[in-house]
Amino acid sequence: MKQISPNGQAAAFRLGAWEAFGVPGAVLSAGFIGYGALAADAGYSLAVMTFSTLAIWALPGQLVLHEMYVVGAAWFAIVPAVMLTAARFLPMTLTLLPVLRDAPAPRWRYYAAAHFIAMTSWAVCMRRCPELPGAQRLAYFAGFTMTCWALSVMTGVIGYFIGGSMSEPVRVAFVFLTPLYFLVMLVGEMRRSTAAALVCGAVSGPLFYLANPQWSVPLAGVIGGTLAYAAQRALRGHRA
Amino acid sequence: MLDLWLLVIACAVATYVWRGLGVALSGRIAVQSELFNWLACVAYAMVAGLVARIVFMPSGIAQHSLLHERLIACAIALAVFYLTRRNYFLAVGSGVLVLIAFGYSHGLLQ
Repeated sequence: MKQISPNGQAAAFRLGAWEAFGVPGAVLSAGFIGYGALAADAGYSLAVMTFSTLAIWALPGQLVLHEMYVVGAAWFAIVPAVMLTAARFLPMTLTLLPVLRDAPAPRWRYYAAAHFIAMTSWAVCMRRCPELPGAQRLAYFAGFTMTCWALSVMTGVIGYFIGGSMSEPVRVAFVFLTPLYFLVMLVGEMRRSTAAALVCGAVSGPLFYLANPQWSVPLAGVIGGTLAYAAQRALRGHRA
Repeated sequence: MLDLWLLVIACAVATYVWRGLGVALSGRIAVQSELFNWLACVAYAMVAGLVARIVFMPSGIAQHSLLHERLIACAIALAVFYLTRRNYFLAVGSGVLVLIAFGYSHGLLQ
C-alpha cells in the first residue's frame, strides 16, 4: 500500500482510482466476469445486466435477484429478499460516513456517494481514509469506488460474452472469488475492536440461514453484533 | 424482458433505501458514542455473516463445489496471505486455483 499523502482533492481522487486498480479491481473484475457469465446463461439482455450492476451495485444482492429470477420466483418474493441482503448497508453507511464527513461538503454529495458504498469500498475505506486528511477522504472514496464500479461494468460485459467458453470449475471459482477476498480482507484486517463482531457474525450467519434464509443477514447482524458488543463491554469493564 | 427491467429497478431502489437512510441518520449519531460502537459491531457481524453463509451454504452455481473444498481453499488463501506478508493477490489467487483444481478433479473421478 502506497503511503503518499496527496495534496489536494484531485490528487486524492487519483490516489483512490490508482489503488482500486490493484487487488480490489482484479477481484471485483473476476467476480463480475462470473456474474456476466451467469446473466448470459439466464437470458438477460446485455443492457439489463449492465443496468443491474450500475443501479444495484451490490454483487450479493444481484446474485440473489438472479437466482430467484432463474427459478421463476414472484417479484414480491424477490424484492424483499434482495432488500434484506442489502440491510448491511445501513450500519455500513452509518459507520463509514463519519469517516468521510470531515469537509463541509454539500449534503447531496453524501447521498450520491452512498450509492457507491459496497463491501469492498467500505472495507478498504474504513481502513484507508482515516490515514488521509479529512478534506480528501470523500475524493479518495469517489476515486476508489467509481473505478471499481466502472471496472465491474466492463468486466461484466466481458463475462457476458466469454462465459460460454468458460468451463464450470472456472465459473464456480470466479463466483467464489469475491467472498474469498472478503474473507481474507476481514480476517487479515481484523482488529481488537472488530474481532468479536466478525466471529459472532460468522457463526450466526450460517445458523440463521438454516432457520430463515431471507432474514439471515439482518438477524445475524443484529443478534451476532449485539452479542459481540456485549462481550466487548464486559471485557472493557473487566479491564477498567 | 420488461418485467426484468422493472424488477432490477425495484431491487436497486430497495438497496439504495438502506444507503440513503444511513446518510440521513448518520449526522445524529456521535462517533464516540456507545450506539456507534454497537452499530459497528452490527455492520461487521452482518458482513461476516454473509461471507460465512456463502462459504458454508452457497446458493447458485457455487453449490457445484463441495464444502470441504471451499474450506480448504479458504484455509490456503489465509495461509498464503500470512506466508507472503499479506499479499492479497497471491492469497486470493492460490485459493481460487485450489478450487479450480478441485473442480476439474470431479471430472477425472467420474
